Amino acid sequence: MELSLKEMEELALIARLYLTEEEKKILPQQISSILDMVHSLETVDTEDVEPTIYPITGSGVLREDEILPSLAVKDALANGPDIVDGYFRVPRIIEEEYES
Amino acid sequence: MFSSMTISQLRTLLRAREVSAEEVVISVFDQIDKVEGDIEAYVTLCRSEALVQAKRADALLKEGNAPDLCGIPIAIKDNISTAGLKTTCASRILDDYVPPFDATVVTKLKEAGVVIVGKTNLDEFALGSSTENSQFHVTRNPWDRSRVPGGSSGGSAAAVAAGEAIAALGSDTGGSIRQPAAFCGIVGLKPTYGLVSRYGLIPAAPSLDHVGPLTRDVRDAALVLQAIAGWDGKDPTSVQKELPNYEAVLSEDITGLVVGLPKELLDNELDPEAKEAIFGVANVLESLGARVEAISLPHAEYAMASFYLIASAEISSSLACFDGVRLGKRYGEAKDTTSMFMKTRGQLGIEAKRRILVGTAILQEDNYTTYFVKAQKVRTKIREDFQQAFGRCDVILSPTTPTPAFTLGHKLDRPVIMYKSDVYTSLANLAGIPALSVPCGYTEGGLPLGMQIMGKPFDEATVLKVGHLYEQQTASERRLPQKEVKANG
Amino acid sequence: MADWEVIIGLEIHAELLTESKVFCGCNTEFGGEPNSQVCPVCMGLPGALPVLNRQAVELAIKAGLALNCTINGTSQFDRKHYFYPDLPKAYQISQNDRPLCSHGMVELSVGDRKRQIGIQRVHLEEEAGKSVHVGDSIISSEYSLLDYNRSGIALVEIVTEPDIRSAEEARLFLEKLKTLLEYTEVSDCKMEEGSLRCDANISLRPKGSSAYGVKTEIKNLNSFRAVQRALEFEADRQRRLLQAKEVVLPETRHWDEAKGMTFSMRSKAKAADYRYMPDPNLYPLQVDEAWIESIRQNLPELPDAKRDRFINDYDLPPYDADVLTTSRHLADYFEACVQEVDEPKLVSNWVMGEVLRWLKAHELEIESSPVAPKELGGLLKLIQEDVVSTIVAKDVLSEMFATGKSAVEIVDEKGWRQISDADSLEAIIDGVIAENPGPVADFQKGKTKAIGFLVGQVMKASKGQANPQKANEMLRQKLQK
Ligand SMILES: [Mg+2]
Ligand SMILES: [Zn+2]
Repeated sequence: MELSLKEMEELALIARLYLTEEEKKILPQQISSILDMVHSLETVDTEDVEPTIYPITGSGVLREDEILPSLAVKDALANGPDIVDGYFRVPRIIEEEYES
Repeated sequence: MFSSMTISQLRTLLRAREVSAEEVVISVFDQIDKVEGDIEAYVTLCRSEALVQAKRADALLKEGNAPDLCGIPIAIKDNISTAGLKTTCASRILDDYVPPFDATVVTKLKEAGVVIVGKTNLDEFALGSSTENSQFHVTRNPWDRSRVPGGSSGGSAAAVAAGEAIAALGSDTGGSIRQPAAFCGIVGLKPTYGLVSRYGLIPAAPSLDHVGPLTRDVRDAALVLQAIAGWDGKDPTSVQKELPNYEAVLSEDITGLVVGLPKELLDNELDPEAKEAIFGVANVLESLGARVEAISLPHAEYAMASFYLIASAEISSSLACFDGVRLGKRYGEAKDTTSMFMKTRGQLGIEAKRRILVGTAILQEDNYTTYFVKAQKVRTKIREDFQQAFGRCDVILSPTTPTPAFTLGHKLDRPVIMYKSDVYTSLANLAGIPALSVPCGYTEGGLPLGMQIMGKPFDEATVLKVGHLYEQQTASERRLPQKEVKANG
Repeated sequence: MADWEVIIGLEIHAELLTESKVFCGCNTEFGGEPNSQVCPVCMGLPGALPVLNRQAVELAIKAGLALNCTINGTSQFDRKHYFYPDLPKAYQISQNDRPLCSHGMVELSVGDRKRQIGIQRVHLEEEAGKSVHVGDSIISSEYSLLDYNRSGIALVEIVTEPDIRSAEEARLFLEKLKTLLEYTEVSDCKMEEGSLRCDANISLRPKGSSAYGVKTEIKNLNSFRAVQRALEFEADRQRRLLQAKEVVLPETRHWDEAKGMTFSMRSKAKAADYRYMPDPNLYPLQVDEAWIESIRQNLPELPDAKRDRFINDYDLPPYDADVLTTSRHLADYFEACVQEVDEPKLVSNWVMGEVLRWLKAHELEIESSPVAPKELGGLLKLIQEDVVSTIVAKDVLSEMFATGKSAVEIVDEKGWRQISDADSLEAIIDGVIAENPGPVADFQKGKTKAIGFLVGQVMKASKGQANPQKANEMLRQKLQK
């Protein structure tokens, strides 16, 4: 699969990645060659094979519904690059596809 | 001189009060002052905090009831969260991030009384095999400064090899503990998935990520593993199991143990010296009473593709949280959030971008089944290969890497070539099984070679035992890195 | 002109009534100081890991059972990716292919008809944080402020089949759903606090056709009334477009409550790709039969069953049973009161009438009524024992609400006891007869209606305290002599 520059720029927008001119030059080919690795898998017969999502067979632990201490507000905010009145501030949100 | 000792040696001296933890830490920092300018293993050093911790360790030692690792200077890879101490992942994005919590492994090491020397360099977000993807600086191999220390735990491996720490923690997603351990002539262990908590390890690919030790010998690996292993209620993939005493089992013998040699991992692409070394190891193990058998891992050749497709998908998801809102640095002027996200995330290095873009492509609805699910199904085939193989043998022996440490800048522009060198190690991540890298000789040029011992899930004991016995048997052949490091060691 | 059929499907998000969040121990209480109920997990700090809350699973199963769903023994948590500043990890942990509950059904009464609305799925997921827009609206504000206290609160997403056929049905469905979630104590369903939210999909097709038309999705529906109004508006808008042979665009539309209109937010030409993947940190959720059975056993009586029981056991008219079972608290109030006073219809009349009227006027819920069921029972007993008349009882109840005193206390303090003894009544009646010779004569001539006037006069003379039945009897006796 040969990735075009336009296709890669679409991916970059989805992934919210700004790319430099230099990166735009070299990445499409590199990404294509990584994606092409999938061809080597086509010879493996995986009919009726379950995909492995987890490396070991585990069973999920459940936590009891107990309130644990939260972070102190100052610690919660400490790493925020732009803090105003106890909130994290961001520039204008452009309404995009999202839902909860 | 203390800085070149093992944990077990220091433990004896510390307990006998023949040396204080403070003296040990000072010795390590002296060594750092001598070689760090050349090696650049660290991102952050914590000299003054280390001295405070050493004094605390001395107090415990004086009471005579100190835990095994009390007073041992240890380095932590900089993608493992440390409360109040910068954790950067060697990324500009996290360049001033100070986590408000400790990773569980750090909590456990602190409980075991260690002294934290500093945070070690890595490929940005642990993506790479040479530590050259660090956005801060490159780390050099203590055996040859023109060569890479391996990666992504290159800083941890170089620090231990160069006497800048007694042991270190690393993380291993596709070989990131074992490959640098092999390149730097030390021991590295990737435990079974679920044995050591991942809580606080900044994730690359959660289904492949592991935390483990890099040490000077196998006994030390056992000691560090003992301290960090065990169930953790904060890690939902952590496993509840009775732990053996990993140090005690080292003295057991291996008579009748079956060592599998997978023919697929000893093929022509392998460096002849590396191949020869493995057959040498096999001979030593046979001489110790083990039986060596040829086995097959028929899907090993698909490991690289399966690994990179799965890893990239998971990485694109894990790295999505670095959006410049709650933590890290925000870059560039932006009038809206989308452009803020893009500019901030645009600071990521090219390897991270490459993996994120690949992962984003793979997870798209149209590609999901043909790429992601296919790779996961092949992963199942690889796991089944191991189940089959372990029906016949107790451990599987292979080289850790197909070549010794390569030169700086050598493979940077050719990602797929670079990825190929991870074949031997990524198998154990795909299967979740324990794998230990132990030095097993040297090239003509004097570079260390590493062998890998893979074991059954949760059978670290056997893996460590085999590694330890081999190490004992060949102790006289062990070398240390370059003169100046050795001289000051 | 074609006759159109309206096709509606709803997606409801309800916050679960857990003490702590779904994947961490942070408090879920509403209204805390911004960013005071957060931790590494719910702030999405790298390296923190989710650990599932057992109670969240239990409540989601309860919801599934109340909606007649199959509870799936194995379900899967997936990551749903999108970038938005209120979503800390840039993915939401949700369930995509394998939800916890599926294939449910809710029965509605629409007028005289019974309608069955299919429930496609009920799945568990996590809430996002809250963004406060500085300025008038999202569009005009230069900045937004983020508070992650809500981030990570447990949600169920409930998706209906496209079985709803009118805006009114949509509202009735939501009312029923709310009743069910409140009954089972799965959610408090407070739309004003955002703990219940609804999005609606609507399309039209020619009657008799089986293919679906192009649908639009409506957001910002903040009340049941808004759901009905918005869907009525949107059905009308689509109908007009289709009749004019124009096309309906597949888009998301925003309901503007003030203007009473929906507005296009964005085109859905390219469907959003959330890049779902199984969350490698969370093993599949295993729910065994024993657990499901124990939850089923402990499920409270659901509204339909309760309604039928009220009709059968208390002999209530269906209307009364409907009203009383709309809320579990109201039904409980009624039943507690019947324990005191064994006359269900009397209790029903008072609860549905005076009590609800007074609570509504003071914007109070039945569970916080100042007059407890036992106290109301005390009042109704006084009516049964002829201590007060119905008219006086209304005044007594009003005093009870105002002062918190018991009915007996108020009646005694105010001297409102009904006069039933013959001697006291006789004196008043004699006076009334003496003062009203005209009506007395009318009655004796056979105008029996006049008795009503005379009883009225007795009540007036006794300041309402005379027992009207007794007065009536005594008057008749005296005048017929
Ligand atoms: Mg949802
Ligand atoms: Zn939390």
